[in-house]
Amino acid sequence: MPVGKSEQPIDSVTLSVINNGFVNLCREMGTAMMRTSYSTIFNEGLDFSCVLFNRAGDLIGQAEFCPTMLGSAQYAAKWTIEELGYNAFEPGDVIVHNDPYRGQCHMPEHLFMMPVFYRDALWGFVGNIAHVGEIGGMAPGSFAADGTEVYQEGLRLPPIKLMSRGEYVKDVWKIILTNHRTPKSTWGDYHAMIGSLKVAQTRLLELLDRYGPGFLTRAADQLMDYSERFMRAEISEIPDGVYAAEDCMEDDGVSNQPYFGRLKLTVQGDEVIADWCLSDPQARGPINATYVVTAAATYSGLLHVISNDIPLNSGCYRPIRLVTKPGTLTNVRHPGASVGGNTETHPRLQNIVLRALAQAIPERVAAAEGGTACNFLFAGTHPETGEYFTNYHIEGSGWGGTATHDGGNVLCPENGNCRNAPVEIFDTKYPFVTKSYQLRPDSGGPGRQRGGLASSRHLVVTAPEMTLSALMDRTKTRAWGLFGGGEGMSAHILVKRKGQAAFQRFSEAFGTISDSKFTRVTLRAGDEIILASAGGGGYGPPHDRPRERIIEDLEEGFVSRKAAERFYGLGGVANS
Amino acid sequence: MSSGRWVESDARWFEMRTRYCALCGQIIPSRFWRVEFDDTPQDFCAPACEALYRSYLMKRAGS
Repeated sequence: MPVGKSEQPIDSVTLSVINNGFVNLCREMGTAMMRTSYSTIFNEGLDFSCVLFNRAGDLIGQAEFCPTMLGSAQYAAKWTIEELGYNAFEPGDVIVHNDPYRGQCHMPEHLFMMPVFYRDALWGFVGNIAHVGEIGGMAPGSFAADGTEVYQEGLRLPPIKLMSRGEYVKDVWKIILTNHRTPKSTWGDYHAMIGSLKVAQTRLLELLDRYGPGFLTRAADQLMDYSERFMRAEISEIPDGVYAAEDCMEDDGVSNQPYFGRLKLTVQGDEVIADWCLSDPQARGPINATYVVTAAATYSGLLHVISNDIPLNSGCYRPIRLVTKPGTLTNVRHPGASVGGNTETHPRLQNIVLRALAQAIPERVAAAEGGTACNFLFAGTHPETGEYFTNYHIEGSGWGGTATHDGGNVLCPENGNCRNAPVEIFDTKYPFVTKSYQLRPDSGGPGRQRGGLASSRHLVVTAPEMTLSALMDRTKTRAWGLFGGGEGMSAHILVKRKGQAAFQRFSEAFGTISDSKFTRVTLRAGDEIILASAGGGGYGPPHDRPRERIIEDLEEGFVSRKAAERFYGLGGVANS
Repeated sequence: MSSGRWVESDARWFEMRTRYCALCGQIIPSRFWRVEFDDTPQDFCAPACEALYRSYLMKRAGS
């Protein structure tokens, strides 16, 4: 791949200013979406990304949103351009696209693209990718944990126009709003996406006025070339070699067998080949990763070990080559189900990349994170409003310890970079009462740098009836530690029916195949749920942890006295 | 040396076909790079995938 092919180098200060202009317009898009959307997963969860493409569909700008969407940002826009053709785009158009078999990551993730014209010529596209919380299908919230094909996962949209020359394409809107369970929420979120595209278009036109279209195109090309050189230089610092690693999903929701992702990572000079072909055959259940999910996990894993200064655009990914095999966990073949591949398998694959890199650059990687988004979906008729509601909730887990830091507590998986919904949202928007929401002591894997803590949320249902679905992982497995660090605590979801004395697993209470992946269980008023996420793995031997930090953990309640003695060898704490 | 050529998919607009790149496994939208290996066609996203197929995948398979 030739580097520096764009002619007439632009000085680095100007390039930096333009890159910041690209990033800022993406950030402003994100703020507009957060402030104007209807759904909790948009305005609290921030489960979206805002991006900028050049005319060819190359990613030339993005802000700090969801790494999980890196792959689809790379591929879905190009697919759209190739399928529709340039002549299809007109000013004021908005294209929607959520098809995992056309370059998207999973069905809920919707790409919106708006072509931006400058003096009647198409210059590029502004875009956003967002997790639309309800898109129909067999499960409220469109997370069918026992689904076995894409047709059960909601309304699948190839690249089509939602807006044409600024006007609603009403037939398309009617089809979509008829098939989503909460059309009002879709209406609001779609308009938040469209509004943010208009904000970005305004800002991009200002940049085009300031620099001119030709100059801005050259700048974008040179920024991509710069990012490529940057990434190659970073890869060059990783010792050449072949590094293998694996990890598993504990089950797929329709059977009890684990599914392994396997990576052979070849570092050769300034390039990386990520070969995922030895992964297990694809699952019947919805834990399969699409190609772009595996790509995003690979990119994201590598971005974790390089400098933060790299401008994030398509150039970063040129030195990273993927080899995958259709029909495996890491590249689902049509019509396999994949909704959980994006939220659950993605962090596992990203962790596999880090596990492989741990052999080469141990000081720059983290131990495994809790690695489950704890997808938790509920729906019903709200007793106070009489309106049908659904909500898609993701819970934070513990992140893995690193060579220098403890893992973060209760953070959404690294692939999502989203936010936890606060207690107030549960208690005011939905028919729940929160009995407690707390850190889980001892859930972080012991280590010189401790794994991050998981959380536990205890909810009581107040609606006469609601349905609950879940798609979690790491309830039978644990986040691994590195270099002597211990494993994090597993996740769990438990239920106590009204009048019962004790909490049970869902397989015991409802006969679900999996305890962590089930769909449409009916709960009634007074039923209680405990949703507990997973802790991160520890880094380094626990006995190397400084005594004062163990005492601090004890005082904070992060570690129990028993664990301090058992894992850290701390005696005589009471006198310290 | 490559004997490849660009080919446009003959799928009509209403037909859904999935064609996977023989190297990276990505689904190819419509235009693909076709190479004959001992009279067996293999389809790729681009010549770069063919090159890696030869230098990495065929080598790994012992071809």
